[in-house]
Amino acid sequence: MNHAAQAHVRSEPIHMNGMPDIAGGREFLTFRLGAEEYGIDILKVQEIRGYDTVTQIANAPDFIKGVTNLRGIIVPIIDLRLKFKLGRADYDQFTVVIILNLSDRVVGIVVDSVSDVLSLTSDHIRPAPEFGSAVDTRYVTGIGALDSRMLILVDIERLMAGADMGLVDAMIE
Amino acid sequence: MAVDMSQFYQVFFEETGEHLANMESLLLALDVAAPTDDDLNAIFRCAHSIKGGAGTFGFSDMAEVTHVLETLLDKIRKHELQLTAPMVDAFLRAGDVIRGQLGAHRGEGAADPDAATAVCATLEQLCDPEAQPGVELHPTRVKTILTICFSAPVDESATNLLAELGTLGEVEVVKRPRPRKTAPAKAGKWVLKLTADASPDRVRELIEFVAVAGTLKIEQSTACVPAESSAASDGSFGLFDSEELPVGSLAPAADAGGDASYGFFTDVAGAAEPASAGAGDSSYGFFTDLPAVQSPTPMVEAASSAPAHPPYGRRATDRPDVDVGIAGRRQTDKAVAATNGESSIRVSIDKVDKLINLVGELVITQSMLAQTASQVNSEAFERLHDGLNQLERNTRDLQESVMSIRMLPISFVFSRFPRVVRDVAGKLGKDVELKTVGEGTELDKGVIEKIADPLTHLVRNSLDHGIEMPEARVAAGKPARGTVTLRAYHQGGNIMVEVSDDGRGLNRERILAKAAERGMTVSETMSDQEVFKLIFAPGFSTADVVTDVSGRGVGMDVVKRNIEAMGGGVEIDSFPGQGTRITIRLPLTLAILDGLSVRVGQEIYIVPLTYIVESLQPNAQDIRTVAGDGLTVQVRGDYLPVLSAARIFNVGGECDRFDQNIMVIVEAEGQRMALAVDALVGQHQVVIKSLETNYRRVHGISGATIMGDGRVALILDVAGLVRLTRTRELLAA
Repeated sequence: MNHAAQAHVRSEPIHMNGMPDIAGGREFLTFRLGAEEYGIDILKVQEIRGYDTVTQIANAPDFIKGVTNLRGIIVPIIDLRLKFKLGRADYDQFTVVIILNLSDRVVGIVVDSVSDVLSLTSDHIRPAPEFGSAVDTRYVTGIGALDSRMLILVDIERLMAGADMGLVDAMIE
Repeated sequence: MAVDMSQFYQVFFEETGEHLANMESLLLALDVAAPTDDDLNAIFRCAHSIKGGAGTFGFSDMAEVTHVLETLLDKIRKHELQLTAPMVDAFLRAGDVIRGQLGAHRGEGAADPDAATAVCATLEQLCDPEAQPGVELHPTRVKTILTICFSAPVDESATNLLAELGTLGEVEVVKRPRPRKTAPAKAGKWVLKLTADASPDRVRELIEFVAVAGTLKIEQSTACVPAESSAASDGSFGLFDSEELPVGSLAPAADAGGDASYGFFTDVAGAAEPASAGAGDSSYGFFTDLPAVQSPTPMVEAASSAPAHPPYGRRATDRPDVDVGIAGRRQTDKAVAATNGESSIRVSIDKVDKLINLVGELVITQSMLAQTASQVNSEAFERLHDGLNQLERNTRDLQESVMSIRMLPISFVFSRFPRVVRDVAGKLGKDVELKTVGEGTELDKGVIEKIADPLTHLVRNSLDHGIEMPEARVAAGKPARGTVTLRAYHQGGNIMVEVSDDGRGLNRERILAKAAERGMTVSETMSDQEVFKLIFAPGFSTADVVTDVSGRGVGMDVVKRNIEAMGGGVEIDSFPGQGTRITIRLPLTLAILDGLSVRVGQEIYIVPLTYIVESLQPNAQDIRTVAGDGLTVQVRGDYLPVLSAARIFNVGGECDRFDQNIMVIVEAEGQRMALAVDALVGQHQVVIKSLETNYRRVHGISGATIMGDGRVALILDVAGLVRLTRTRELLAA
C-alpha cells in the first residue's frame, strides 16, 4: 500500500510533524496555489496524476470535490485552491492531483501545478511567522527560503486530519 | 448424536484469540477515570464470548477465569463498582492467563495454573472489596523463609541484588556491613531474611553473582503454609467428586463436572449440588446472591487443583466408562494432531478482499480493452481478438473462483449446535431436540464467521427462556421434548436464518414492565413487534436469575448490532404458549450487492435491489402536497412519502417536475417510501467498497462502487433514508 515508501527509500526515520532536528535535509514536494508556493513532505506523497471525473458527495463542503476511483480504492478529492481560497478552480487537462498516503488514509488534493522536489536543510527553514488570527498557521511548520523563493511548509497530515477539513468524523486532536 | 467437536477447536481458538486481542486493545484504550458504557459493554462482550465458547468446548479452566473476569466486569458495567487502575491491570493479566491457557489447549506450551489462581483471587477480591479485606491478593501457597548469609561489598551490585530479591518476596536485611570509607569495595557480611515461595536454588543463582565465592549460605527455615492450602494438594476436592456422584440421565458425568466447575466459585456446597440436581439455576445464582459466602481462599485451592486434570471434560463425555482423565488426554492429543494436519489455511478476509478487488479491476480493464479492440479491424488483428476472447474467459473463471473462496455452506455454523443444545439443555434439565433445515445453503465466509456468535446467543436464549421444563410442557399439553429449529433458506437476494422454538413465547407484559423499570419509554398501546424489539436494548434481560447460560442481558444487543453491521436485520415473531421465532435476514455476501442504478442529475446512484418494491412513473394527479411542503404519491390507494434524491443529495436534478420523474418505491424497516429519481439506468451486480476507508460516513450513503466505466457510484442507504423521512415527519408533527 505504501507506494511512497517504496518509491523513495530513505534510511532515516520519518519525522511526523517535526521540521527541526534534521541534519541531512529533507525532501519536499513543492506545488503552487495561486501565487503562493507550498512544500509538503515527499514521503506523504503516493503519486501525482491528472484530474479525473469525480463523484459528488452530498452535503460536503465545496472544497471536497467528491470521490474518485484510484485503481479500485475510493479516494476523496479535495481542492486546496478552494480550501485556501487561492486561485481559480478550473479543471482541465493540466489540473494536477497529488495523491497523499497519510497514516490511515489515501486522499487526493487538487493544486494549480507541481513545481519540483527540493531538498531543504535546517539552514533553509525559518520558523513560521505569527500571522495573527487571520490565517490558520497551526499547519504551517515553517518557511523554506531558497534563493528568492519562499516555500510555505505545511504539515499535510495534520491539515488533512483537522476538523474543518471534514474528512474525518471526529476531531483527531 | 455424536459430534466431533475437535473440528471446531481451530475456529474457537482463532475466535478466542481475536476476542482476547480485542479486549486487550479496548482495555488499553480505556479511560480509567471515565470509561464509556460502550467500551465497557464491548469488553464485557469479549469476555462473555470467550466464556461461552470455552464452556461449549469444555475448556473449563478458561471458563473459570473468564467467569470471574466477567462477574467483575458486569458489576463495573452496571456501575455497581467504580473502575480502578488495578482492575484494568488485573483484567490485562487475566487476558494473558487466558491466552496462556488457550496456547496450552492448542498444544503450544503449558498453562500456568498458579497464574490463573492468582488472577482469579485478585479479580475475586476486586469484585467484592468488603469481603475479607485482610486476605492477600497473591495466594499463599508454600512460603518459605530463607536465611541467607554471604559476604559481598556494599556497592551498586548489592543494591541491585536487594531489588531483585524484592521481586521474589519480602526481603529483610538483618545485618548489613558498614561501608568503610577506606576500602569501600571490600566485602562485608550480609544477613538477609527472604520470605518468598522461590526455591533456594533460584535465590542462590541470584546471589552467587554478587557474593564472594564460597561465602554463601542459605538456610531454609519454617515453611509458613497456611492451613487451608493443604487442601490444594488433595485431589478429591468437591469438584472432582461430582464425577462419581449419581447423576440424572440428562446430565452425563463429565457435563456435571463442567457444571460444578462453574458452580464451585460460589461455595463448596454449591459445587457438589448441581451434579445431583442435574442442573440447578439456583447454584449459579449464588454468585451474585451471596457474595459474602465466597472467600477467595477455597476458590484458590479449587482452581489450583483443577488444572491438574485440564483435559478431562473435553470429549470424555462420549465414553463415560473409560478412565476420564486418560481418555481426555489421548483424545486431545489426537485433536491437536488433526488440526495440524489440515489441508486448509485460514487467510485473513482482508487478503481475500484485496484479491476480489484486484479481480474486479481486472474485469473492468478487460472490458475496456474489449471495447477498444472492437473498434479495430477484426480480420487484420485476428490474433489480438482471439487473445482478448481468451482473456475474457479466463477473467470470468478467475472471478468466479475468487468469489467461491468466500462461499461456504451454513452447515459450517449449524454443526456446532447439536453439542451446544445438548450441553445447555442438560444443564438446565430440559429435554430438547435440535432440528436443522437447509444446511446446504451457501453464504459468504465473512457472513458465516459473523453469524456464529449471534446464533449461539439466540439458541442459548431459546433453550434457557423459550423451552419450558418437561413437566411444564406436559402440563401445557405439549410433548415433553421441546424442539429448537435452525433453518436457512434463500429469499430474494438474502439468506434467511431462523431460530425457532416451541416454548412459552415472549411475555409481553414482562418485557413492558422490565422496560419501564429500566426507564425506557413504553406504552401499553405498542404493537407486539415494537414490544419484542425492546429486548434488543443493551443490558435488557427479563430473566430472574442470572445463569451461566444466559440472562445477563448481553446477547440480544450483540445479536442485533452484529447483524445490522452486516447489512442484515432481525425480526421476532412470538405467540404465547406456542413459541418464538427469530428470523435473521442476511445479505448473501458482504462484498457484492445486486443493485438498480438510477440517474439523478449527472450522478449515478445504486439502490440495493433488496429494498426495491417497484418502480413507476406516477400521474401528475397522484402527487399531492401535505401542508404545502411534504409530498406524497398515491400508489394503488396508499399514500407514500416522496423523497427527492436530487434534493437530498443536492445534485440539481429535475426535482420540481415530479410527474416526469421515476418513483422507485422502496421499503425498509417496515415502512415504504417513494424515491424520486431522474431515470433508471440498469441493474448491476456491484462490488461494495467502503467510503469510510479514506473518507467519512455520509448520511444516506452506505458505500460506493466502481462502475464499468471506472467511475465511482454511491450506494444508497435505504434504511437510513427511511429513518430520515421518519424523523422529518416527527419534526413536522
